Amino acid sequence: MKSILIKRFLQTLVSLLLLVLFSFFLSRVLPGDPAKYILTFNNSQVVSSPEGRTKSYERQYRQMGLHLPYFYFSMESRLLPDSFVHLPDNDFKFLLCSLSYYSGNPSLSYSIAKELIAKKKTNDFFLNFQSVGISVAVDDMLANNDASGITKNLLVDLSKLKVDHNNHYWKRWIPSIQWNAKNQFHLWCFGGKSEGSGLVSKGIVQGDFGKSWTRGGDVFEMMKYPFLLTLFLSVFVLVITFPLALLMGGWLTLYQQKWYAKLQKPLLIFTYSIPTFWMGTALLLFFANPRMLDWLPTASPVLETNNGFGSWFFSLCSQCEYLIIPLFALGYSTLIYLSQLVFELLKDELQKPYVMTLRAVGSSERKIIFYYSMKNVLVPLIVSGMSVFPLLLGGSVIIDFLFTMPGMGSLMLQACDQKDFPIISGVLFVSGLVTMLSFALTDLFTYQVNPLIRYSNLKKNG
Amino acid sequence: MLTTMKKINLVILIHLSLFLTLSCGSKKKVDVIVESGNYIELGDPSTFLDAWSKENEVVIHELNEPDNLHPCNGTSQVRSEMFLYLHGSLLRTDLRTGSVQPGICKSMPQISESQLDLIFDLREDIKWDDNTLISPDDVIFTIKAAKNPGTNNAAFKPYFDLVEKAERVPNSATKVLIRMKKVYVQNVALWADYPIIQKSFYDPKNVLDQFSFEQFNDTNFHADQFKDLNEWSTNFNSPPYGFDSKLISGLGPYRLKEWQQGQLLILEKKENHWTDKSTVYAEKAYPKKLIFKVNKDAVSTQLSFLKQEFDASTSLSSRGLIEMKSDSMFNQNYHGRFVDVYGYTFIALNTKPALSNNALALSEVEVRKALASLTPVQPMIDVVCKGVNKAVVGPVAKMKSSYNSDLPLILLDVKKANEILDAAKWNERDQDGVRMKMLDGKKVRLELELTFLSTTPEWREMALMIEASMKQAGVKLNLNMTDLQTWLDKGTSHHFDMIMGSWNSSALPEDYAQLWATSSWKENGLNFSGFGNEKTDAIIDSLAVTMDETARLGMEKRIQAAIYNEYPYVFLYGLVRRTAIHKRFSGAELYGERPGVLYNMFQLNSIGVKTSVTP
Repeated sequence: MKSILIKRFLQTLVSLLLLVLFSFFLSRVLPGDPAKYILTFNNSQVVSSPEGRTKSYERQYRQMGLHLPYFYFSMESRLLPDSFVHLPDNDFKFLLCSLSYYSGNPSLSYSIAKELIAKKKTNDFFLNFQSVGISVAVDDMLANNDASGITKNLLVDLSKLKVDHNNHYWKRWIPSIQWNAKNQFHLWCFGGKSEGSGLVSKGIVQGDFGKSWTRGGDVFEMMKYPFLLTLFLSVFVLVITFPLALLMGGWLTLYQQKWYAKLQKPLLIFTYSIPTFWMGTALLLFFANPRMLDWLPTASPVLETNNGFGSWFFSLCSQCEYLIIPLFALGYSTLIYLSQLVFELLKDELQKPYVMTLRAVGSSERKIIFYYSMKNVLVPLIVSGMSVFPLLLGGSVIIDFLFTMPGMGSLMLQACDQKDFPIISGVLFVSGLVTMLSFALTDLFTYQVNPLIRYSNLKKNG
Repeated sequence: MLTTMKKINLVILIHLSLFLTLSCGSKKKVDVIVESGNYIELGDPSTFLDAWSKENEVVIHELNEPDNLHPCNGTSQVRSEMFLYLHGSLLRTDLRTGSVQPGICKSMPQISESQLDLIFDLREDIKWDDNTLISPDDVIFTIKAAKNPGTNNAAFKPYFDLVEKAERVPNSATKVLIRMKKVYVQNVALWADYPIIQKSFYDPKNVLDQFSFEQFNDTNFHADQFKDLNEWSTNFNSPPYGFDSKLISGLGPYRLKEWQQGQLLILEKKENHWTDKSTVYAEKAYPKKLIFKVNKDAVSTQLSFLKQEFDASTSLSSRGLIEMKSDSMFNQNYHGRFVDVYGYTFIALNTKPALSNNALALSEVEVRKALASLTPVQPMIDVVCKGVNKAVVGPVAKMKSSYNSDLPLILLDVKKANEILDAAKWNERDQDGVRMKMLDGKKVRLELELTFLSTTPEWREMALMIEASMKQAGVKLNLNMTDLQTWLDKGTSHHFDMIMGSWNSSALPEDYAQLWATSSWKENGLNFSGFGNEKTDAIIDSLAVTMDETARLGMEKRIQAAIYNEYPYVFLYGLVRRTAIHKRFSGAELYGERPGVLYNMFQLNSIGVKTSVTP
């Protein structure tokens, strides 16, 4: 048992590491610039002067820590300066990159790019080199120096750039790996002080997921109750569906020759194929509609989150009528899946010799199914049931949206909408962690209750 | 100031509901409705039904909760709307007239000859929650807190960068002088709706007093080198100041009572508040509680309205409201109205399309003109918007005095578009019937990409109608549906051919710089299309510093005409707000200006129990 535990622990550790990397990078691959998003879509980017806007953007960019590279090492062309990954201005980066690749001279390119940006020549230059190529664009700028109003020094630099182009062009293909001691991943994992905002985080290793970019609140605190609600709903669905699935599966096996049992399969498959969103909407329109059956409430319960877990749980229980439709919408497919599984497993079980013996000694079919065979299908059922758990967590996104439940799904949707990376990373990490733990627990459970696995393991260990 | 931001900025409509300013609905009259100028007054119904609640609380449907209620650091629109109930400001936007009016000041500020000094004289009846009178020090502190480099308000900093300093006026206990750095048409309006905060509450140790405006104006000033300031900033930026009801304090008639995040937020009326004696309509506070409940799902929102679980909403989907208005149960209990707002939908055309090779054709004004004639604006309004919205000719709303009424609507006219394209030598056609022309030595097909948002199905429906219409004149349109972020990125980086979206504005004077100045295009701002030249830039620059209304009017009309003649946009239709207000309340008014409704003015219907709750 001990060796199994250690082995499982080590496996979990590796998975955890991968999960941390995955959670971080998945949140970062969302398209778009979160700083620009926050400034543009929220009452901001307010001034008419572009300088003010740029300053505001740079402040926001640094405040969010986006000026830091993603990871410990980054690979860029040798022609890009070391500070390339730290530059906040994408236009500047693009310009610098183009000029450096063109000339093979990063330091000269840097000074030229800076001057072009300062003189707001960037777009003119971009326009030209996008349509005619950088070589012609540089020629054009040299030829039209009077019109473009650039300084003499810049002209000299541009001429040098042209000379360098022929000598160092090949250097762009040589990669250089840079070490970034301070990076976004490090800050997220191990904490530290964000340069721009002075925000201090202890890192996820100490259970600190940082601060939300849009709300400023502590991500762990923001996730606490949504996580509990989602966990509660998922566990509750499993707890309810397990016995129901056993009953349904047993009943279907018992009456499998009857016409109504034969009819169940297409009916269940049809119900199973109904999307959760559709089912939830249909249930709402049927059971929470004053024009139909106005039996149940429409939206979610209002949960008390300010006075600790006790009052939260009490408020949840005291408004349990609000949970009926969401739980059904979340659990119907699990119930159908598990009951079909029980049915199939029992059918196999009934072919086994011990069943024939039991029949021969006069045991009733009901007793065979519900007493003797049912025990044997429990283990595979629990293993399969636990694999449904991550699906339930995922399904909660739809349920949260449809019923305005303040769960992890709502939090995730909102965070994705607002490009709030700390929350997205946190939710992904926690969901992954719970899934991993559920698999680990299932393995341990299987090991504990299945003598075949235990025996084979003992044999292996000599 | 918050309202000014709305105006200057032309904030993009983010939420799907906001796009669904498309709309329609029945033309049935509700009980008593007075439409007076810029707003609609909803009167008493003839009865007060037994089924109606007599609770003096307004339950308001919201699509989103505020990002926080921090007086400086938040950015969301909902937050600034809630600040109308929680805070007081030097000036306020008068929603009835769409003008700036005194808030906690006795009158509009005295402006010096240089136009840089503004002297605000504070009212003497205004008290903080601890019963102390508001003083110029509070105003100075508010500005210092916002200018402090350690305060996490990057979005607001550019505003306060315009402020040179603020100081008490000698020998006056109520006057405060604010000096601006440069003359700017918005120097006064900047102070509308920006919350003034109490110095003794937020800075009891007077830390900010140790620092001068000169220091905060200095770009080389490093706030983190000063321990006291650093500590104060860290504390002030901390989440409790944005979420904890005990740490949120303002001059408004309501206080934050409860906030269950992601679910509901309750504002409770303060007892014996100075606004009780106020005669200003916007300062009245009748309901005991304002309960903001979040619900994003259209179906459950609709059912909640049928069950009367909500009293009001300004963020319903258009289709939702259309459906509800056809339901007698809804009509019995609610006023459902579509209200014209200061915003419009558009298709921006990339007039400087070097970054998008497909769109070389769009650099020709004739092609843009033809595309405008090929856009089925009215059919889109009739089919997709169910006839509620109105076609527009330019960026300025018809309700504004600066609207240029000389510009005629561009109607769908395929024949005319064909003629324009033929005249522009787009005569040749390929095997698919798509027009072609030699441009810069290359044969270019008139094939364009139309980018639009995936937020609601209506955008797609309209895009399909446009595609079908364009095809009739040999213009091939490829549809590209994107998320909001990609939409913005494409627009600001000019990587598009045609991009469809909507802008929102406000009743205050337009600032054309963001959408129409060439600098905004060069700096990857919101000038997506590349419109502008030295002449239009000069007009825009003059508008920013011209205070004289008549002179402004002429310039505004000229810039509208320039936009009209250059066809950088195909203007589609004006936006509408979808509102539902329960009939158990009277006194509700619907405004074109955001937030559209002031919930503090809701009075329980006179046939109900209104008399017992009047302040």
